Amino acid sequence: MNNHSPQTHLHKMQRAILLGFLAVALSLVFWSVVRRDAILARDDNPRLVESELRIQRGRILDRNGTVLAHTVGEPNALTRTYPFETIGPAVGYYSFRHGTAGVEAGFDAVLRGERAEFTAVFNQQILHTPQIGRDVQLTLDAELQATAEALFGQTQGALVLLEIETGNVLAMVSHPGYNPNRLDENFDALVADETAPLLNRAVQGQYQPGLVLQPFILAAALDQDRIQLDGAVLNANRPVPVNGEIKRCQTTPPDDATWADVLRHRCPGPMQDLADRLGLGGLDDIFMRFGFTVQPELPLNTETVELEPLADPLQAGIGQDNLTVSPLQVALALAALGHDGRLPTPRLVTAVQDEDGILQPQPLTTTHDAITSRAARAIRQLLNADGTLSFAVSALSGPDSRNGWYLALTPAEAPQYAIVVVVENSEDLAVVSEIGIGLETAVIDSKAP
Amino acid sequence: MRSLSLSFHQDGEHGRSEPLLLLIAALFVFSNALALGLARDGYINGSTLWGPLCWLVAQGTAVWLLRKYAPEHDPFLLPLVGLLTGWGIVLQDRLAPNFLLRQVLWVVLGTAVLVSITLLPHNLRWLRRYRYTLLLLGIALLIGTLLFGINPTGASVARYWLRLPIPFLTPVYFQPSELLKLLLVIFLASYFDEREAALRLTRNGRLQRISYLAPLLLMWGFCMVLLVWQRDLGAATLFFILFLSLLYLATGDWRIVVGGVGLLLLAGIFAYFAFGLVTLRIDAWWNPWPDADNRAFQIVQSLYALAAGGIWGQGVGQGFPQYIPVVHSDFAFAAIAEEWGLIGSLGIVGCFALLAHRGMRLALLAERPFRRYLAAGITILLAAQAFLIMAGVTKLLPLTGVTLPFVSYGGSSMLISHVMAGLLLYLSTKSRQIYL
Repeated sequence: MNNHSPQTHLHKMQRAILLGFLAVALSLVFWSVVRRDAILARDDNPRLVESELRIQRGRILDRNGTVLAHTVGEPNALTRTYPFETIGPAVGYYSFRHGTAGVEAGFDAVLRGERAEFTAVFNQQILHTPQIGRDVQLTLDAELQATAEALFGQTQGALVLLEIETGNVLAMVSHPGYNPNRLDENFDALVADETAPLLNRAVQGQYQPGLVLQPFILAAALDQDRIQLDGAVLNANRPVPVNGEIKRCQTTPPDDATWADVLRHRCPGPMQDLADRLGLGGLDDIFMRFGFTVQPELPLNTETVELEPLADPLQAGIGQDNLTVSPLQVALALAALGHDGRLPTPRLVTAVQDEDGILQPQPLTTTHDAITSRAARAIRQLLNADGTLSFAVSALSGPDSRNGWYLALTPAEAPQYAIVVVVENSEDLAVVSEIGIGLETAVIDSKAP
Repeated sequence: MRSLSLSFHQDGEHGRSEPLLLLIAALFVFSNALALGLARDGYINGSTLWGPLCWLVAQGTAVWLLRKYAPEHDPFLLPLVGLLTGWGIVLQDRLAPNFLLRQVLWVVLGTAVLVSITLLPHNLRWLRRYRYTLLLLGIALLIGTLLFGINPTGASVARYWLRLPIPFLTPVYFQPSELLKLLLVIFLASYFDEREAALRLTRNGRLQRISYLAPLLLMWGFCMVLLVWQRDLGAATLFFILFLSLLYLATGDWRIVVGGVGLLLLAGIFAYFAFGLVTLRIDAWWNPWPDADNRAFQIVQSLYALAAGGIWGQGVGQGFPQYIPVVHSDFAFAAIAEEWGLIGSLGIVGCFALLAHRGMRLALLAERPFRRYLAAGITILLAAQAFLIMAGVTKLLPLTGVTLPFVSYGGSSMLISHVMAGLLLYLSTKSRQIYL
């Protein structure tokens, strides 16, 4: 065939045109299929915003079904609303601009209603049915939570109210908190605020425990027959240097003090003797048993903190070493004392709505034995005075800085709830006790029919 | 010789295929118009149907007229053009409803022109006879644009339009470079027709060739200078491709193609350093991501649209193609990819590939050089224009601002594209003994 016939050239040209279109087709496949996910995930893609705005996010309910967070408005102008304005740190926030925190973060996928099965993906992505989120029911009690928040007033601190048998968290206060309804407008100020309102102190707070540890160390030592409560203690009120300060018992013990007196009068000296005997290994074991060395697992999307290992047994015995604790950890340990030595796992969620819209109860959490019931009961009896079962102590948290702690089990005769309150930078135990007692009263009242 | 098996029997056997194809196109257009109404308002309403109805009446009449008066025309061209324009109307309603009326008017007018050209009672010999006059007319219009050109949007850039002094309700703008495109094809076809023998005479007569080509180079070079002066780079690139292709067809010398592409690259490199617009376009093409929210915004948004579309698409009216600036003209293809997915965008590519295939087939079957060059030239113009914008939108090539033929918004382009399709149809009516 003649290589120079017009037909040959036309055929070549025809092929060139088809090759060009083939290249376009391949380019289309590249962007629409191969690179699709990577492109769509880029955070300057306006479609992320659009699809986010269309999601009817699920509600967050309290244990009685009271709404703590819900999404309201027209399909294309949905807003997240929190009926309890001070609930900030307990529930977290959902912000279009600043993301999520707390329960909103921990259950983000459920609240958004994300589903993996084919029909759901088909409905959402092909038919564009709106993505309907699912509800989450918390263990929190809106009423007790509000009461607890109100008790704080101007005070800075945190509070945890637990059901000791189940580990259900009924109230969780971090004060000062924030109003999640106005997060976007206040965000910069909240971030800059030195009192850290965005931090959930109840869970994330890392407090120097001081003698808050005393009942737990003594309970474990009792359990291990290291001490007897009526065993004599030498020189109970002797001075103990901590952070350049001299510490003695909180109240003056009798001269013939016993280990029971050490607890009653919050004496640091004998705790150091005991710690010396226990050694770092013994102390570590006790802290582990009461759950102080691990962060409790709550679906709050919080960062875990790695603690330095214990360094000095004498300091560790009075809570002035590398161990720091959160109010939730203390509340759990306290629950173990109240519940025959069984340490509960914290529980924040009672039910999650399934894909058919039915609230499915979440399984109860497990407990494990921290100490024997004998030791737990003995310490409990010791703390029970005048019908209340409480332990208030001021813990040195740095140079010239003390935190007031109030630990209580209620009702005293047959404990059901553990309350832990911490007030920052407070010398005066009356302040922290007032909050604790106030909440105790509210809990007992709420139980009365 | 037929290298491609996609050739259909002419006449009788597929006499019914044209109405059938039009029916398929109409089903597609109307179902999408209804879906758009549903997506936009949530219930079935007629407001999205009037555009497609006008379109259907125009297409139906065109098919009827062509079958009656030119029964041996190519049965694929009209349904292909119809599918693209119908799709374009739905897309226009979706993206820029305020331009819908104009778009529908241009499509109806374009279809009328297409039918008229196909059914021209006499031959087109005058096109050849007055080729210089016609081309000079086009050039004069282009110079006029350079002097008095405006941009209908009021922008001070890209002033490629002339305002026509027609006592209309709304002003009519015309883009002379579109007309020049058509006139240049006709000019080149008749020129090569006349000189073909001389150009092919001998393989080592290259000096001789250049003297034969001188008038051609002069005319073409003049067009290029004007377009580059006007910064209408899309049209300039198209002219270059057209010229190179026809020159290759006439001479059969592949070195012309290589040399031409080399020249184009050189020109591109020069333009990259000389013109801000070219620098911007090439930078945005090479790596758009660092400048995604500024100068490369358009191409990045286009890629987002492609990715969002995926294989199945978001569905008409349900994506977010409006994030792409001027999506209804330059980026219509990206909007199709978002809402109709890979299936839809490949469908558009397929339509143009089939259109090009039918056009080249006409060139192959042409008995006379002028018909061959005209068919090939028109096909190359349409295919190259579609390719340039589709490749630009998918970041295969730097962006050149041309419209997607038959689909994008743009009256001049719509009209001229229809004229070109009409000429192809005219060339396909073999039985009428027309000697061009």
